[in-house]
Amino acid sequence: MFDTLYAYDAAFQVQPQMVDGHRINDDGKAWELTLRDGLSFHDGEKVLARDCVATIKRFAARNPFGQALMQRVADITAPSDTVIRIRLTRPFPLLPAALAEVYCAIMPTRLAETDPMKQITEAIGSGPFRFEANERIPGSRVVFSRNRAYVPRQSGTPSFNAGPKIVNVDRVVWNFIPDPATASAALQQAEVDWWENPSLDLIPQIKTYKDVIVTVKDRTGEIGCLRFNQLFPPFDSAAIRRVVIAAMDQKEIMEAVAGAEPSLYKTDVGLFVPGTPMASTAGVEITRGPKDYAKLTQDLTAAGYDGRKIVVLAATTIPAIWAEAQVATDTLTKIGFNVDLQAMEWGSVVQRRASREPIERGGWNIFYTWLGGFGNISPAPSISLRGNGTEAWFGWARNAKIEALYAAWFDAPDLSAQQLLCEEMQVAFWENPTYAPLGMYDSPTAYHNYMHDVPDGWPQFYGLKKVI
Amino acid sequence: MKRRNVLTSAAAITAALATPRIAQAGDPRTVTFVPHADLASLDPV
Repeated sequence: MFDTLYAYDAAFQVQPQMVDGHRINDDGKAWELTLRDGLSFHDGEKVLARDCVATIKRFAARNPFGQALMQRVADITAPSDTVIRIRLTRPFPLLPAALAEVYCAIMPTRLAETDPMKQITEAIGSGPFRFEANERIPGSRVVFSRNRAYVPRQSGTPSFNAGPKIVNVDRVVWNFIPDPATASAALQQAEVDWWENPSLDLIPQIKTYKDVIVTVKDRTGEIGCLRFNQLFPPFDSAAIRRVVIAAMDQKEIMEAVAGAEPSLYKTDVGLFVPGTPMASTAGVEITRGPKDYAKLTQDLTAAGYDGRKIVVLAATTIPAIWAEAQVATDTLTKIGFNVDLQAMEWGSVVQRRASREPIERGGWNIFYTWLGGFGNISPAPSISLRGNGTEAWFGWARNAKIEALYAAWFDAPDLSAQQLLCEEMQVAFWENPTYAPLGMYDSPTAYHNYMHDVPDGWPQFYGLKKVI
Repeated sequence: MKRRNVLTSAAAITAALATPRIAQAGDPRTVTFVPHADLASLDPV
């Protein structure tokens, strides 16, 4: 639906997308980006450089990579309809990578001027599909139609979000089916073509379906996340958060989440996906079992926990979240937390987690999710790592040491320097954690074999063909 | 309430409660997809 100025290809390399190209002057401190021809919004208006400037500013107010960019920006202007000029206070070679974030989705100025902390009221992008607002059934169905005015870029090779976005279908219909057994049956009977992430316990069964392909397309994985709210006791205390970290047995949790397909999960997970360049093994021993719960209970008391109720939000409608939530919450209870587990559908978690109120007024202490995307392999776009307080992701973590290391990472001269900084970040993370990593899995997807050229990465609907 | 208003209300309720028809995979120009969650927000940020 939305398009971006730059885009990542399947090898995580950044390619121009809406921009025709760029020029860099003043020893890396002056960038001039030129928009390519043929760009228009779904409301018919032409995409102008000032729309991009407004979008970048809104993106940077919320997104960590955008914030890192703006810390180096002296000014950002649109001297013409097609030129975006960015003057920096110091060189920032990762500028195209920041603007390749999918969250930097170009929208009309009138929408981009919406308060960054409030949601936009219309979904108007310039991408190859349009959102059909009139066909939406909240909780059930979302429809996108082909944007016939879309002009794919002429150069490059289609790869993930990069290259020409060629659309071969007229409509994409999302049917949200919360019950995994119902979704599985719909896939088997070809009532649906593609199930984004089948429930892991159903994978062995789905593999037996005739003409259905089960494969992993997204190599960034899913990292389990027990997120703390640091605005209020007890999780304003790093000592109490450390006890929670020490209590979580990643293997026990991942057995519950992905025990049916053990080849898909990994433990010893710190900040990044094990085996990727920024991953470190520093301190991961703490995530291993078995655990001495009696000792952990004593540690919790010594850390200052006073027995107060904690509100824990967990989505029942996403099986992987509900599975991790049940095991991790049981662990919290075992070590002595007074837990109020509130089970709800994911949309309600999304709304509730934004509350900065105390629990007496609808707030929360913990919510569960899975972290996906590039933040699992690089600190730059990570939303969960940051410790910049009210600017940080839900939970509003404060961690000055991680912030300093994060800032230094962007100025690191080479890969080994970046890796060293990531190791230091992980050490600082275990000392003052913003969440508890609960293990990781590669999320398989399932689709019928009449779906050809399904792109790598998370689901995209350009490039693919339906041949029946 | 007039009968016509009652019927209008009933029709609206029926439409709202009806299970959405799932497009059949037989249409080569339509991809039907089951996402991991309902679209909770239209905002990319």
